[in-house]
Amino acid sequence: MSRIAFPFLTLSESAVTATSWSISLNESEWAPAGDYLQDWDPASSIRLRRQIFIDPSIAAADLQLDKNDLKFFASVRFGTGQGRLPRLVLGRESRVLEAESWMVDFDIEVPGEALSTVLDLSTRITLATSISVPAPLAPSRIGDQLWSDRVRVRLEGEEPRFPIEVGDIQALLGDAVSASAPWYLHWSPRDWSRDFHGAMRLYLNSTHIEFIERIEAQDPMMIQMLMADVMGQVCERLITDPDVNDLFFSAEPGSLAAQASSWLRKAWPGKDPDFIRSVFDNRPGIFRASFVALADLGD
Amino acid sequence: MTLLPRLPPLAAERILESYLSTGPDQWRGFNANELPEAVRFTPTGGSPIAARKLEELREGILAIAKNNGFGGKGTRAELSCFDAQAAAWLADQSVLASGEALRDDVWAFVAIVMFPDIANWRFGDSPERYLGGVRNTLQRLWMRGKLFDRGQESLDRWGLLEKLTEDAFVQITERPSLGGNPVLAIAIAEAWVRASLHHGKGAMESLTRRAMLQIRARNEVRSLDELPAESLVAVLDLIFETPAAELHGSSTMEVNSREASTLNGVASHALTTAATRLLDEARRWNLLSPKSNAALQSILALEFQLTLSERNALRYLLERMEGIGLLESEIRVLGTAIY
Repeated sequence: MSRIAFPFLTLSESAVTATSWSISLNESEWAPAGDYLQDWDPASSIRLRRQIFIDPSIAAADLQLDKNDLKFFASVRFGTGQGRLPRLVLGRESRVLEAESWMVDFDIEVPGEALSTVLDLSTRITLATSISVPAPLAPSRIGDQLWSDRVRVRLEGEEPRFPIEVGDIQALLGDAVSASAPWYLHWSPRDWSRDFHGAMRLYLNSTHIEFIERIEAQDPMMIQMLMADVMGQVCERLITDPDVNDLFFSAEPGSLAAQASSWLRKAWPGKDPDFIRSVFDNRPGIFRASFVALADLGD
Repeated sequence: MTLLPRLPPLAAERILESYLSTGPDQWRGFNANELPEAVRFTPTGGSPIAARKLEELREGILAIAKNNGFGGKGTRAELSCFDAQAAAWLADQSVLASGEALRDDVWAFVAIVMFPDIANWRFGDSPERYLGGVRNTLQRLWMRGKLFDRGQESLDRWGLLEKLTEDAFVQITERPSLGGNPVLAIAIAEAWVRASLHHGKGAMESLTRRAMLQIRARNEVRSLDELPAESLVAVLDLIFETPAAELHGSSTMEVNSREASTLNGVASHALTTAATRLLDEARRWNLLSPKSNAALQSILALEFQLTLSERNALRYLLERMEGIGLLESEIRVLGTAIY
C-alpha cells in the first residue's frame, strides 16, 4: 500500500480488485485517466468512474478477522491545487462494502470551475465497524486504513512534474556572475515545511539555446546533472540545518524536508543524520557524487 | 466563470524587487485598467475579471485595513483584527470562489500588483509575504476563510477566525495533509478552541505542536475524516488533552474508552506525556536512533503495538538517558509500559 509501517494488518493486492479510473471530459467518450488531461478548461465538466471489488475470503485471511465481521468503507477523496498533496480536498464519496455486495461503483462529477492545475483522486478502503475482540495484529477501529491508491491528473500544461521554466536569468539575478549560468535553482531553505513543488523552480537560461535544446530532447546526461545539482543543493542545506533531526524524522509528507530526507535515505539507507552529516563534513566529494549517482537512477 | 490575473514567478520576483528597492513610499498605486505586461489569463474557459471587480476587491480590503490602523504601524491587536476580518471578507467574494484562487500566481498578482502597500504594512519586506504560497499575506487569509467557515447557518460563522491564534492557524494550514482537508481542518480548529478554554491560551503553543504531530501520525494509519463527527471530536479532544466528560457528556465515551487505552497498566495520557518529554530531551541530547524515534512517535500516536526492534531501541534509549540522569520519572513511566 505504501511505505508507512502500519501497526495492524492490511489488505493485500490480491484481496482488492480496483479498475483504473476512466474519465469523460464534457460528456465525451470514456477513456482511461492518464497523467495529463488535454483540453480541460474551467468551463469543462469531468466525470470519473471506477469499480472496486473485495474478495472476502482473502480479506478475512489478510486481516485475521472473522468473515462475518467484515465491513468496509470504500471512499474517494477528490482534491485539486498545485503541489504533491492537494491544496484542497473538494469532496469525498463513500460506499459500504459488506456481505450484501462486495463490489461498489464510483461515478463522480467534478465541475471544472472548482479545479486548479491538478485533479487528485485518493481511494481508500477502511474498516467500517469496530471489532470488539480482535486478533493481536488485526485492525479493530473504524477508519483503520487497509488499502489505498492515488492518481493525479494534470489539467494545465505548465505544471510539469518538476517545475522547470525557460527564463531570463539576468533579469532575476541582475549583473551577478551567476546570471550567465545555464541554469539556476530558485528556492529558499528558510521554510522546510513548504510543499516541495511550490518551494522551488528550476530556471533554464534562455540565452543558452543549445543547452535548452538538449534538455527538451531529454538528454539523459544533462538531466542527470541538473537533478544531481537540485538534490545536492537541497540535501546539503537540510543536513546542515540545526533542526535536521526533527526535519529528517518528522517531515510533513510532500514537503521540501520530506523530499530531501527521502533523497538522503536513498543515498545512505539506514543511516541517521549524524552519519550523513559526517560524510558531508569530511567527504564532500562523496556526498555530491552520491546524488549524481542517484540522479542516474531516475530518483 | 471569472478568470483571475496570474503573475508568473519570474515577473513576480522582478516587480517585487523593484517595489522593495524603490521603496514602498514610491508605489504609484493600483490601476485596474493598466496591469503589468507579464500578467496572463488562462486562454479559455471564462472571461477575465472586469477592472471594476478588481477595484472593488482593492476597496474592500483597503477599508478593512483602514479600520484596523492601516496608515500607522498597527498594533498587534489591530493586525490580528485585520487578519480575521479580511479572511472572512475574502472567503465570501464570489470572484474568488473558483479553483483559480488556489493558484500561487494569482495571489502573487494580488499581493504584488494590487496590495503591496497592505503586505508591507502587515509584514514589511519579507518576499514570502508577497510571492504566491501559504505565507502570502492575502492568500493565507483567503485559505483561512475557506477552511474555518462554520457555514452560513451558524450564529457565529467566523468565530474561529477570531479565536485561533496565529500559531494555531500556521500549525493547521501549513501542513498540507491536514490543512488541505476542510473536514479535518475545521475539526482541529474547533478542538483547539475547546482545548484553549481548558488549558488557557498560554499553554497552547507547545500543546498544539505535540497535538499536530499526533494527529498527522494517526491520520496516516486511520482516516480521521471518515469517523462519525462525535468520534472525531473525542479523538481530537484526547489528543489535545481536553477532558471529554467536561465538555461533551457521555455520548463520546464509547470511543474515549477505547482511545484511552493502557499499555501494561499505564494510561495512554501518562504515556504520551512521558513520551513527549523524552522525545524532546532525546533530540536535545542527540540520542535518537530511527527505531527509537519511530517507537516514540508510535506511542505519541497511541499506537502501542511496537515491533520487537522498536521496543529494543526504546529500551536502549531509556537506559542511555537513565545513565545520564535525565527525566527519571518519565523513564519509569515508559519503562513500566514496555518491559
